[in-house]
Amino acid sequence: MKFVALLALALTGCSSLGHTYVAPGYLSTSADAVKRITVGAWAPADQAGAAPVIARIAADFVKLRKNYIVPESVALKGWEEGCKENREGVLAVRVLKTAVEKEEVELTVAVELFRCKDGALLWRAEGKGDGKSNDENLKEMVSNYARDVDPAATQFAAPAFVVLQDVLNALPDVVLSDAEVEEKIELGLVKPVYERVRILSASLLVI
Amino acid sequence: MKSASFAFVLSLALTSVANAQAPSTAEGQKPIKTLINAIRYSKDDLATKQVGYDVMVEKLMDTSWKDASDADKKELISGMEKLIRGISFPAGRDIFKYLDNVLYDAPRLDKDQVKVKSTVVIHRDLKKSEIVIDWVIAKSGGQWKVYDTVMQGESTLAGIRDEQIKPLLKEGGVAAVKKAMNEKVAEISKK
Repeated sequence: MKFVALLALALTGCSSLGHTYVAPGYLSTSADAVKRITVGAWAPADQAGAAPVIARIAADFVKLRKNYIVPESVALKGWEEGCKENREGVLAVRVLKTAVEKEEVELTVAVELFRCKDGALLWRAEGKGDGKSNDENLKEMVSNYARDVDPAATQFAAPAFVVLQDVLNALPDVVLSDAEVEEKIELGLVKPVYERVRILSASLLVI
Repeated sequence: MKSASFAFVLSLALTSVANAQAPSTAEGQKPIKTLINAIRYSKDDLATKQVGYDVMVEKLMDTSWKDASDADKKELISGMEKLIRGISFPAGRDIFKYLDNVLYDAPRLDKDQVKVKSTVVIHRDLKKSEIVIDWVIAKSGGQWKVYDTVMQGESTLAGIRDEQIKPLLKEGGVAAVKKAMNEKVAEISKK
């Protein structure tokens, strides 16, 4: 049984969670905790296409596995760019190191949660791991991200998914009120920007 | 008169085209995303509004649907809702802990059905795998709702119809289906 588990781990890539930090006195379960966040990512210039892919993967995971309300995922230069109206914080993923050797990609990331109103660092964790770009178990997911976000997904999506999961699992979760749960459900239904543009264009043609 | 007939045929044709069109991405994904999130957060009243029980039961009953009385139809639809709420929603919540990612495609027209493909990444025993699910949606009461799922080419509804409903219909018609359904509803109500 142990052998099967080890074999499975080897086949899907491996990652490890490094140092984690929580700001003294910060309680993610309190009513005034940071709940509405932008998820952003930054990658070195030579891997710039990885940033929107990593931001989207992190956002999708946080939306699905955590209670945070995530209106947007973006590529960022600095976490402050993610502070907008109706946003209390920014979850910023920074790619610290990449090593690519054919299909093997090694990633080291730092993930930080900042509070917009005072710039406080509330939580931080580092993770490192490697995986295959062409992981057979994640090929549909990779092609989705390559089609919807950036072609760089074919190289980074699978390894980033493995590394980010371990780091983001450590993110302290928030507790939502009933109204906030409804807000989160509704948010998933907001029309994407491109669709609004399409509708606007169609309306103009009719006029 | 001729021109009136032509207008009627034209309007019918246009209506058919409109019905056959897939909805926009947001419209088509809405019932699925709402269903999944509502089940996750135990908002079962909201979840149930995303399911097309009427379309579902009509497909399950196949040709027997037209022979069923209005009272029978109402009872079957209500029974189906109780079964889905009592069995499928809790089962969905149990599966949730294994989900790592859910991604959606734009709605597409597949023959006469509107389908939304989703890619679900799950983990079990440290192993990740993908499941591709086609959600079949239809308009019911002016709203797009989910009424079937297709995995590896197999329709859930067709499986239930062929393995469970058809033998009951053969054995005792609509009454036998209602009896079996009511017994199952009573069984889950006791739990």
